[in-house]
Amino acid sequence: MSTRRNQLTHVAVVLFCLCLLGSATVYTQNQRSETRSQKLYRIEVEDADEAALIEQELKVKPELVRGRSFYYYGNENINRRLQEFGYHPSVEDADSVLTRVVRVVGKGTEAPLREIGLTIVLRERGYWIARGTLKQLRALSRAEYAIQDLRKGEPYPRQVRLTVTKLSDVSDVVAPRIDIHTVQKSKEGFVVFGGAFDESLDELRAMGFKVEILPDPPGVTR
Amino acid sequence: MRAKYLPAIFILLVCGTPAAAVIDFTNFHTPAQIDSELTNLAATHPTIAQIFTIGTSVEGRPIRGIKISDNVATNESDEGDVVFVGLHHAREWISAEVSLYLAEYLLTHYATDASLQACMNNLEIWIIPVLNPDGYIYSASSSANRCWRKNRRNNGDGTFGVDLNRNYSFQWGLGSGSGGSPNTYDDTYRGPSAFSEPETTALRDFVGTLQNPKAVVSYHSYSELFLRPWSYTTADPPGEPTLAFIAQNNISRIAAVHAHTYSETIWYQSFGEATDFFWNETRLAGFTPELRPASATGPGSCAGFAPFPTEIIPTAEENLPAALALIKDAGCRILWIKDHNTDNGVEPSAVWTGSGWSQAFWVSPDIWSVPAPPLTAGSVVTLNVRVHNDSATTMNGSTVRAYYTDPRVALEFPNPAAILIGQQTPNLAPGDTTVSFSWTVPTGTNIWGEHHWCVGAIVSHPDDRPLTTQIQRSNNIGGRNFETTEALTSQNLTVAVTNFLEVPAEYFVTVDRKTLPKGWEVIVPRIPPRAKPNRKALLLGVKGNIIEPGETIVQPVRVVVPPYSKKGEATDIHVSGVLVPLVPGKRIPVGNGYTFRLLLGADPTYPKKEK
Repeated sequence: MSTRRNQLTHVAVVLFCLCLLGSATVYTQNQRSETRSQKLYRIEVEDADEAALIEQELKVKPELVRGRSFYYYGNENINRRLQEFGYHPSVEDADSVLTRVVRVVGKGTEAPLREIGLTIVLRERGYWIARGTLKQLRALSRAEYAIQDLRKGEPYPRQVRLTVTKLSDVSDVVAPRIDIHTVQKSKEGFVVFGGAFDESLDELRAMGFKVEILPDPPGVTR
Repeated sequence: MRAKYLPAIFILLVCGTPAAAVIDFTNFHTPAQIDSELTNLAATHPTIAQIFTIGTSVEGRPIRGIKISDNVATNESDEGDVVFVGLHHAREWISAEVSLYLAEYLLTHYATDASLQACMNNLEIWIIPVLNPDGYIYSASSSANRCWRKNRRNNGDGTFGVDLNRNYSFQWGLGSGSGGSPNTYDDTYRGPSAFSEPETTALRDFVGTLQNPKAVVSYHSYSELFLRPWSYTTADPPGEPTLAFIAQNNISRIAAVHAHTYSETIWYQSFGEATDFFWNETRLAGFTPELRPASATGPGSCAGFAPFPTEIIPTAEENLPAALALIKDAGCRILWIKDHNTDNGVEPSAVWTGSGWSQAFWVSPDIWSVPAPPLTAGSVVTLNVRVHNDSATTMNGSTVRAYYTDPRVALEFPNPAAILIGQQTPNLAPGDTTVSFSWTVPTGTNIWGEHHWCVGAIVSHPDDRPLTTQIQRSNNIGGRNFETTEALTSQNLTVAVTNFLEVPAEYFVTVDRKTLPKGWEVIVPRIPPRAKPNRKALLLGVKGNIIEPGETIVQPVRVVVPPYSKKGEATDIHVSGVLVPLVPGKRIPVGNGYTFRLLLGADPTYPKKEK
């Protein structure tokens, strides 16, 4: 009886998760209602100016420009036009390219999230905020984690302070990971105040930097 | 007691009484209050102030500003434009206050400060206190949101906001973290693509519509810094001495008010930043003051971004002289060097017509040598620079610098390739002063094998600073070519084009045929198209020649003279050109030119016709 109840609970959790994921997906699709029926394509561009010129001159709005990849929702007409300019559109799996940032709730550990490939944005009491592709989030829901939309204002970066001894560490190590608010000279070196998420703080700590978490601004609840 | 106030009363009597300032800066304004204060200012000063809108935010709010100028209802193309922008970042409320304070100051002092009025009458001043109205409203909506930085773009993935000052196209997307993050949830998220945001495109397009832009100031907070391009690298930009002089001078002006010394450096790089964009593409001086406080102080944990309201007035007060100095630089001519014989000091001294410059501006009559050209290679000559001082007072502490470099289309002064001939700090009396340098004429050729040099001279003073490196756009800069003997005898010349911009450009080379003697012709051969066409050029439908960043293209030119010409005949051949960058938005040409003094060293020769 107990086993049967567990099985029913298990099914219910999975259904709940799928519903949530479904609602998240619908939400995403609503945001892209115009492009819902279109496929995601990728072309290669040289830089940001070229991407902006494609949008300006050919009216192809980028969904995402990452490195040299220009992703867009397109169709045959758009692709033909791009081909006239020497581009080679390739179909991409939107569920593997585009990401969502969500709350993840579950009693399990963080390990399955990482195994699936999610980025842990924040590690909070009772939930994580994580980023993953739709494909990864589907896999997560199968692992019995509930996926929820972010609450208003989330995610709040942590307010942090850390001290580095070398000035070059500010530009080379800290700046790529932290939204620097200010840098102040001190006897110990350079004190950096900023905002950051746990993925960056994990990296800084792994490199041996001691990061101090400061109180949140008033009104922020986690 | 009475005696104590006599000096103040005297000053008031002499200077006149400015219209009373009415805006209360003892506390931060709400977004709605900023809006209504702008409206009130325009209503109170209808002859010199007008509300304008540069576009709408991502949530559909108008991005409003106040235009301040004489004949405010008219866009006067002969006047310079200076733009002040606040609140790219939602939490940096003090940047909107400083902008508003500046607007009120200009409007309330226009009638009583004659020297300010004189400068303002030559300008159109555009103040946009809030570039990011959606973010500002969100930041003001609750204490939890006070630290919000970005706009309010729905990123479609559960997160909101793009960092507007990481969204400009120049060097966009090259960094991470503070430099511009690819992660949508980061406060420095750079957007899905460059210029993805209506706020940044609105500012870009607005500045693109200005007919005579002089400077852009983008107020931010905090840390007390006065930043200049580049933001994306620690390397110096072209024209670094020009930008550094202004920045350091403004830092002194700021410090003189309340003894807060702003720093010049920020210690990390930012990609896709506004002033980098404007300097790179148009050599439009751009500065980023990071306002008070110096450190993370203030109520709450959003500390530095939410300083105590008592900081507003001193911050605005100390930044005012720096803003006024830029207005003076842009609007009031004091020291200047003529670009051509008919130059009367109006900027620009020439405009690009689409097929050439309206006037050769690299032929300054205020720059000459003794002995006169043609110069003998290796000889020491006196290079003279005549500077006009239009003011009634001696300008002590002026600086005059002279450079020489290879002539090339789109030359600018200073530029990284120019060699300093000398620098002097004369006291320039009213009227004309000639400053002389000793110049050893190079013995070799320039890099494409000609004995032909371009000299540029720059005059600057803390009260009159060049705002660009473009000769025709700045009275403070003049240019002139000098030839050595060997250059004069050849009918084969070389035109060189160098791209100092960090983006590819279309370039045009033109020869002023109107000034050629009858029967003379200059043939500029077509350059064969590149094997691999530039994709940006294709997108823009550009069919001209393309030059990549840093590239120099050397193009042979043949001068054909009529058979009846004789040895000893001479003429000036003006060659000029522009670079038009291959970028989104309005493509603003930058350019220059140079002049060959061609003297026939022998009777003309022609290739023999094949039988």
